[in-house]
This record gives sequence, structure tokens and C-alpha cells, in this order.
Amino acid sequence: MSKHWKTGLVTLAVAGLLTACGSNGNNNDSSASPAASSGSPAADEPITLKFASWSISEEATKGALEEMANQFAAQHPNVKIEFVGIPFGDIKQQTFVMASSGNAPDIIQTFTASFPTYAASDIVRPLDDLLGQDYINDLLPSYKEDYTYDGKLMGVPWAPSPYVLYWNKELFKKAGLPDRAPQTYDEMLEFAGKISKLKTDSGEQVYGLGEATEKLPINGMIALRNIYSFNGSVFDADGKVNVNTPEVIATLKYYQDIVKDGLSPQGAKLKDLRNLFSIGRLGMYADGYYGRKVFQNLSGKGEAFDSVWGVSLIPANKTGESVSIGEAHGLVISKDSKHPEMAAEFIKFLTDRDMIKLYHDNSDVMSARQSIGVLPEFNATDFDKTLNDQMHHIKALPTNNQGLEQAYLEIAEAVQKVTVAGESPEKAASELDAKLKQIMK
Amino acid sequence: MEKAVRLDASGTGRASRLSEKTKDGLFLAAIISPALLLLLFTIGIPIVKSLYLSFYDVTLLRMKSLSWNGFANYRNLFADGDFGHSVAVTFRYVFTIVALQFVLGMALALILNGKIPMRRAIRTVVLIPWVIPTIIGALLWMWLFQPQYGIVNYVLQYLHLIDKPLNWLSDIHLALWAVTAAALWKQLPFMVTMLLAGMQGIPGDMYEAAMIDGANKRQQFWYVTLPMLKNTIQTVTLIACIENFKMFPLFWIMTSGGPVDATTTLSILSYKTAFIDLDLGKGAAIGAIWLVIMLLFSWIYNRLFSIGEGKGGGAH
Repeated sequence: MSKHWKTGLVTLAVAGLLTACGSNGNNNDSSASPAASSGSPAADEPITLKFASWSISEEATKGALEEMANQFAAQHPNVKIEFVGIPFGDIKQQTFVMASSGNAPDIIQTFTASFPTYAASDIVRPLDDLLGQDYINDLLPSYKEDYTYDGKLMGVPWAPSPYVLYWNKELFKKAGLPDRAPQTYDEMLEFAGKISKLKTDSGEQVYGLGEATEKLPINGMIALRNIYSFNGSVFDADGKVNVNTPEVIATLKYYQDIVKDGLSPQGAKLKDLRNLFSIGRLGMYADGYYGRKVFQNLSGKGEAFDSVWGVSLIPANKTGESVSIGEAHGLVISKDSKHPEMAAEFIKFLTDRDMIKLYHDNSDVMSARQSIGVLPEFNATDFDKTLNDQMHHIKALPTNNQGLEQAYLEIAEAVQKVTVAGESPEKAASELDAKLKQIMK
Repeated sequence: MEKAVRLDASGTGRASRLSEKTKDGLFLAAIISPALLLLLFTIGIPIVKSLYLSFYDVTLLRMKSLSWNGFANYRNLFADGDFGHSVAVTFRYVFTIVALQFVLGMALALILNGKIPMRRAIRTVVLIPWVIPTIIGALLWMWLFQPQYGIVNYVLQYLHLIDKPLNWLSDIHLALWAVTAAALWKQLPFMVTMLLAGMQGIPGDMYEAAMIDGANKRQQFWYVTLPMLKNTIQTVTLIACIENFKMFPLFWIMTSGGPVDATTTLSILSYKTAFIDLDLGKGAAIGAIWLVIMLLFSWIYNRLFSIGEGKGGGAH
């Protein structure tokens, strides 16, 4: 093989990366109908709304979404909802690449940790004028704030969920604990210690309390729940970034201790915690509304598994009361959408009473609209009541900022440093402080 | 062709405005041009555009506003320390995996080149990891290494080699080794196959001559097999180096570059920068430097293999 040939081979190999970085790509598998790309449509003009979503790719939610699209199409015969299924982990980069090549979907599904990146970009548009003030005023304040950027509502909290505490009744009983969830962090740690002494029938380790410590933006956001519980914040009293505080250091120490003491698995993703909880190897962990369906599926026991676990408010810590954060699958409308009014109409439809009820019956989804959240059908079970109760005990996430998603990632890295690399909480907090001050300028 | 040239030269052929050499050149150009055009559009233009973007402040957040920032992307890369770290991780990984692949591949190829029972069946079985898609392999190994219910910890504990589960993918000291193990499993069949093919191309009389001269098996390996495989070794190890320099799916799926950047290679860093941080300019700058590193590496590698060539002696 000649040297030139080999050099060419090397060049070709590296070209893969350069191609990825250099090309805008076009991952869309379909294009809008000609009618959809025209100007403002007449009432009966055919419209295709492209909706990029991960929920349409997931078996648990696919049927409900298709049903919603069908019902909307029945009410609007000229509108076709065209789903663009993109996995959860890829949706942000794929939709940005689609938008950069002038092929943005009309509606994009996102979630709270990624939303700031969309909000600060030039690919989505404000929704205040499209949704109307009555609709906006109906949103729960903390969720509204989480989807607001620069004073404008840039997204709609579609499927909101507070983080609540799930606890395994069988493991509690086996560990000789009372048949109730812990009320405080101290009690939670005490319970976790006792559960962690248990072994499964085949001798495997059981964990008392699970915290997600994988370096992902969502885990950084979840860490805020603990920071808030320790009465901490990302900002000081003057509104300036400051995480080099005793409260944040105490939070990092909490993470370090529960991993070091074997109460929580090291480097766990949220899905690892769900797995462990479903197979009876985790006593407690915090998660969203998704818990019930996930446990039914992962345990292999279906609805019979519902009796194994309980759900409660996040235990109180330094603030003296339950504090959680709210996460929501949200919807944004592309700035390049040719039919923003119809896209907004579809979003209103998705978040109205009937559709949220359909989604609730399918997947326990709650509503961020105050007028709907109080309805009896959303408060029928103890699970519903706990979710709704916790939604009134949540603290808003930091004000949206272009660097917020990166900040979440850095918080997750700080957690990883203390749990995996053995770094001191003081040093991790100091390094995090420097990074956040740079990122969230 | 030679006949045609003679005819023209003697003047008995039809007069031609173009020389035969020019005609040959045009013919070759016509044949090769579709492939060249394809490469130009699929690789050449993106490379040039990527180099162009590396000098701009360009982010997917605001694709409609490009602004020239000179060498700022490059300066930022060297200033924040992540780039140097990822270069070190990449080289550590590449050297480890290629060395392991070569040693184990050679051993396995020697075994399969010998007279062992069910040789053909074993050669086929060995290929299985190679034909499994890398993504599937990565997911498989991720589950094998899962600390709480993965089979690796189970087996090691059962054999009393460890007393508690190891966090293979979330321990900063183990994660790179875990990915290396998965890569070795995936890539070893290619190395074995290529080396085996090279061994089978060595004439039997070379070994006969060596035996007549009194060479034992070890001497035959060092003085016949290895020198005769030099070109094959050069090619397969270079391919293995390139393959692993740009390895992305195993790292992304198994560790996403973590924990605490312990497995953040250049491919992971460039992807994160371009498509997670959405900073295309900086991502393109990483790609450009990566290209230079690869070209330099390839050049040095070929120079090393050419030492001793053209001086009237072989490698031995």
C-alpha cells in the first residue's frame, strides 16, 4: 500500500467527523405538503403540521398520541398531523440541525432541562399572542416560569410532573420499618440505612435510597431538588450566581455520603434506579409521574405491582417543609413554522381537559393548567392526590438563561466528582461556582 | 496497446491529434471522475466547509448569524484543558487496544493456522463479534458490565475474585478498560482474519528451508512468519489505529465520555461540543486539529515501518 494511498485512507477516516461538524444535514424523513409551505392558510386549505416527538416513538405513549392526532384531525379535516419520531436523547440536536437547514418541524417536544437552549435560540417563537392571556394565566406559576424566557412564554408545559418519593412497602416491612414514607431527610437516611443492610434471596445487595448521579443535564436539574431542600440555591440574595455556599456543600456531602455508605448505587442513571426499584432492590427514590407505568412494565408483574409501592411528598429537610422541583415535557413552536396559529391551536387541544384526561388515563400525566388540575378525574386516586399536592410544593427552577442546560450538566459533574472521583464537597462546590459564573453570565 | 503504438509510430495507422498518453489519461479521467465527484461532494466539500466554520463563531442556536473570529476557537480549545485531556485519553486508548489486538490476534491466528480439530468451524465462529453491529455490541457490554445485575460482576464474585460489585462504567479507573474490553471483543476477529490470511500466503518452502537450516518453531516465527507478514501487519495495525482513533459508538453508548471525562476521547469531545453544546465552530476546530494529528500519526507510522527498507536488507 503506497504512502499516498494510506494518507488518503486516513483523510477519509477523519472526514467522518468533519462531515458531521460541517454539514447541516437533513434528518427529516418527510417533507411538508406543498400547501403547508404556502402563506397564511384559508380555513379549508390543507395543512400539514410536523410534530417532532419522542413520545410517539415509545410504546407506552404512542397509542395515546396517535389518538389525540386523530381526534384533532376529526375536528379539523384540513389538518394532518405528521409525527417525526426522534428518540429522547437525540431530539435536541436533531431538531436544531433540522432547523438550521430550513426544515424545522412546526412543533417540537422538549423537556425542562433542555428548554432553556431552545428558548435562547433563534429557532422558536414566543407564544403569548398565539395562546392568549387567559390560557397563560391558567398555567401553574412555577411551570409558567420554567417555560418563560426574557419575559415571554416560549413553550407550553404539556405533561408536567413534580418529583415525588416512591417507596417499596415490602422492603420497609422486611427491614422492620413502619408502613409509611419518611417525613424528614434524617428519617429517610435512617430508613435507607436499615434497608441497605438487607439482601435479596439470592444474596444481592439492596440499596436504601437512590439518587441519579450520571453526568446528564436532567440529573443536574434533579440535584437542584436536593439543593433546594438543603435551603440552598444557585443564586445569592442579590440574584448573582453563587454555589460556593454551606447549603450546596451540604448537598454535595449528602450525595457523597449516601454513595460512600452504600445507601445509593454509584453512577446510577434514573433508568437504573427505576430498574432496581422494580426488581425489589431499591427502597426509595424520587421520580416523576412515570413511576407507576414503568414499574408495572419493568417488574413484569403489571398492575399487581401497584400494591408493592407507595408514593409520598418529598421529605422535609432544612426548609422545614417538602420542597421539590417540577419537570414537564413541553411543546415549542418553530419560528419558521408556516402555520403557527394552527400549531398553537393543536397545542391548546393537546392540553385541554379531554386530551389530558386521555393522557392521564394512559400514563398518569397531570395538567399544568390550574383549572384542569383541580378536576375530580385528576384527583381520583391517592397517587393523583400526591402528585397534585407535590405540584403545589415545588420551587421554580433558575430563571431561564442561555447557559442553563450547560449549568445543569456542570452540577451533575460536581455530583459525579464527589461520588465517583472522591473529591471533597468544598472543592467541588468551589469549582462549580467558577464554572457557573462563567456559563450563566 | 503496444501494437497500436507501433502502428501509429510507423505512420501506417490513422493520424491522431492526441498522443496515446493523452488519450490514456483522458480515458482514466473519464473512468475515475464519477468516483472523484462523489468523494468531492460527500467528503471534500464538508471538509472544506468544516475548516471554514472553524474560523467562525457559529452555533446551532443562531445559525443565521455567522461572525468571523479568527483563531478564537482554536485558542479556546487549548485554553480550557479539555482538548489536551481528550487527546491523551484517545492516544492511551488507541495504543492499548491496538497492542492488545495485535498480540492476541497474532496468537489466535497462529493457533488457527495450525492443524487443530474443527479449524474451519472455529474460524467461522471467531468472526461472529465482527458481524454484530457496534451499537448492539455496546449495549450488550453495557449490560454485561452493569454493576448491580451484570454478569461480569456475578461471575467474578462467584469465583471469589472480587468481594463486592465493581462499577465498571462509572469508576474513573475502570471505565476506559471496560470500553477497551468491548472494543477488543468487537475488533479482534478482523485482526485475526487479516493476519491469518497473511500467514496463509507465506510459501511453505520458506518454512521447509528454515527447518533444513535447523530453525525451531520460535525461530521460524521470528525469522520467517513475522518478516513475511510485515506488510500485512503494517496495514492492519494502521487500519486498527484509524478505526479506534475515530471510535464513537462504543464510548457514547457505554459511558458518554464519563465518568468525569475519564473516557472523553476526541470523537466524544467533538460530538459534545458540536451537537450537545451546539458550538459548531469549536467542534469544527477540534475536527481540523484531529485531521492534522491523524495525518502526522500516519506519516510517522509509515516512516517507522520503512526504516531499513531500500538498504539491501530485510527487517531481520
